[in-house]
Amino acid sequence: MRKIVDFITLVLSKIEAAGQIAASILLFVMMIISTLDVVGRYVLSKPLPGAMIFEMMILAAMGWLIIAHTQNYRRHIRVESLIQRLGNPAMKMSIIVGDIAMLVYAIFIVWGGWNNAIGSLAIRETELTESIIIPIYHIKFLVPIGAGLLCLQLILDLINKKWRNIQTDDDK
Amino acid sequence: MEVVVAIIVLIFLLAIGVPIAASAGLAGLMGFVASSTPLKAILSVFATVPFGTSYNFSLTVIPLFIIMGYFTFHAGISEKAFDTARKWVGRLPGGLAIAVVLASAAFAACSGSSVATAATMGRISIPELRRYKYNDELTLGAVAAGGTLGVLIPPSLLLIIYGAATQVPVGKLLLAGFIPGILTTLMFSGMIVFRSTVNPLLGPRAPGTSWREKISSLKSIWGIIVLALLVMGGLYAGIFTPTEAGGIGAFGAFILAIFTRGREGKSLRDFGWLKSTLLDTALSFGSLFFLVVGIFVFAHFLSYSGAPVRIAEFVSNLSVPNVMILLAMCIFYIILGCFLDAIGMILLTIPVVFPIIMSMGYNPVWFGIILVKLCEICYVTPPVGLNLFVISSLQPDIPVERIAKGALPFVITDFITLAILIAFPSISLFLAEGMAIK
Repeated sequence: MRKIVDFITLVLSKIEAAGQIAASILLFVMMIISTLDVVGRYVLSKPLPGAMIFEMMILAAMGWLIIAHTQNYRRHIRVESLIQRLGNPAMKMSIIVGDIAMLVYAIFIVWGGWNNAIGSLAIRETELTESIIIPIYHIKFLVPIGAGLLCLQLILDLINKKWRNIQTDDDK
Repeated sequence: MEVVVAIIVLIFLLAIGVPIAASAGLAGLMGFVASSTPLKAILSVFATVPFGTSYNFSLTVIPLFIIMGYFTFHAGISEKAFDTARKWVGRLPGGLAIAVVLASAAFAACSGSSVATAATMGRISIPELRRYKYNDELTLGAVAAGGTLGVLIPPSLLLIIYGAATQVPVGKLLLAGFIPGILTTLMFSGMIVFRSTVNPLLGPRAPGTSWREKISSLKSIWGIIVLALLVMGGLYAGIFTPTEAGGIGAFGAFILAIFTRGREGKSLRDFGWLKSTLLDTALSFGSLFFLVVGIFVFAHFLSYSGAPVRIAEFVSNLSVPNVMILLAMCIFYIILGCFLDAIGMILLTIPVVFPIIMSMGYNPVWFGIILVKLCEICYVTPPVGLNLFVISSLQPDIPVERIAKGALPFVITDFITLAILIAFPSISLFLAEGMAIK
C-alpha cells in the first residue's frame, strides 16, 4: 500500500511540476501576445486577431494548471493569526480540517466543471471574434482536471500526514 | 436566514484556518443549501462560476503586473532607485529614510505588491541605514510603510482586484491611485524630516553629494521612468487597455532586465533567472486565482439571496449622515484588517459594501482608492500586518512589536492622508476623469 501511495505521490509531483512549467510558458506567451497586439495595432495597423480571447484562455489554463502545485507548496492563502495563538496541536488540527474542507470544495468544482465541460463539448462551444471562430470547449476541461489534481494532492497530503512536516512557531 | 448561516460558516472556517478560497466557496454552498436551493441549481453555480471567473478579461492583467514586478527586481531597479534617492535627499534630516520611501515609490511604479516592495527595499536599505546609525525603529518603520506604496501607486494588484469584483474600469482605478500614492510619499517624507529635525539622533544627515553626482545618478533610473511613463501614459491617453499596459510593461521590464544583466557582464545565455521568475509568478498567481474563484462563488450566493440590495436599502434609509456611515466602514475595515489578508478582505466584503456605497451616491473609483488606502494601513498594523513580518524575517534580531512601534508614526500619517483623500475626492479623481476611454 505504502509503495502505491509513494508511486502516486511521485507521479503527481511530476504532473504538477509539468503544469507549473506549462503555466509559466503560457504566461510568457500571454505577455508576447499582449505586446504584439499593441505593436500590431499602432505600428502595422493590424491588431492580432483574437488576442483578447487567447489571453482569457491562457488565464484560465494557467490558473487551473497551477492550483494543485500551489497546494503542494501550501501557498493557498489562509488566516492563521487566531489559530496560531492556540499552539501547535491546534495549528496542525487546523491544517487537517483545512485540507478536508478544500477537498470537499474541490470535489464540487470537479463535479460542476465536468458537467460544464461535457455540455460545452456537446455543442462544440466557440467564441466568435473579429471574424475568426475560436473553439473554447477544450479549455473547460481544464477545470475538472485542475481541480481533480488538487483533490488528489489533498488526499495524498492527508494520507502522507503532510501536516507533520509543517513548522509552527512552537516547533521553531 | 440563509445569509446568516453562510456568514457564520464563513467566519468559523476562516477562524479555524481553512484557506480563504475553500471557506468562501463552502460558505456559499451552505448558503445555497440553507435556502433550499435545488441541487441542480447549486450544480449549475459550480459548473459556471469557477470557469467564468477564470475566463475573465479583467483578471488577465494580474499575472502580467506580477511578472513585471519580478522582471523589475531582476533589472536591479530597486538598488538604483535607492542610490539615486540617497544622493538627492540623503543630506536632509532623516534623508536616508526618505530615500527608502522615495525608492519604494519608484519600485512601486513597476510592482503591484506591498510585500514585494517592502522585502526588496528592506534587503537593500536596512544595512545602509544601520551603517549611518539611523534609529532602528525609524529605519524599519520606513521600510514597512514604504512597502505599502506598492498597493496604491499603479500598477496596484488590490485596485485591479477591486475593479474585477465591482466592474469599475481598471484603467481608471490605476490612474486614480497615482496622485494619492505621490501624496502618501510626500506625507511620509515630511513626517520623517519633521521627526528627524526635532530629534537629530533619529536620522542623522548623510554626507552631501555634488550636483554632478546627483544629475548623473538619474541616468541609472531611466528604465523606471520609461516604464512608468509607458504604462501610465498609455493608460491615460487611452492607447492601452490595462491588460495591454500590463503586457507592454512586463515586456519592457523583461528587456530592461536582459539589458541590465548584459551590462553587468552576466551571461545572456543564463536563463535561470527567467525560469525562476516565470515559475514564481505562476505560483503567486495560483494562490490568488483560487481565492478569487472561491470568493466569486460566495458572491454569487449573496447576489442570489438579494441580501446586498436589502442591506444597501436599509443603510440608505438610516437617518445618519453618509459621512458617518463611511467613517463606520473605515473603522470596520481597520478592525477586519487586523485578522484578514487585504485581498481576502476586499473580495469578501465588496459584494455587500459596494451596493451601499453606490446607494449613498459615492464615486466607485474614489471609494476604491479609500479602500486600498485602508488596506495599506492594515499592511503595517499588528497582528497580521504582512509587511511587519516581512521586515521581521529580514531582521530576526528585532521583535515584530518593535517594528510595529516604528511603523506607528507612519500609520498616523496614513490616517491624516486618508482624511485628506476623503475630504477632497478630486485628488483621487483628477487623473481618472481626464483619461481617454479605452
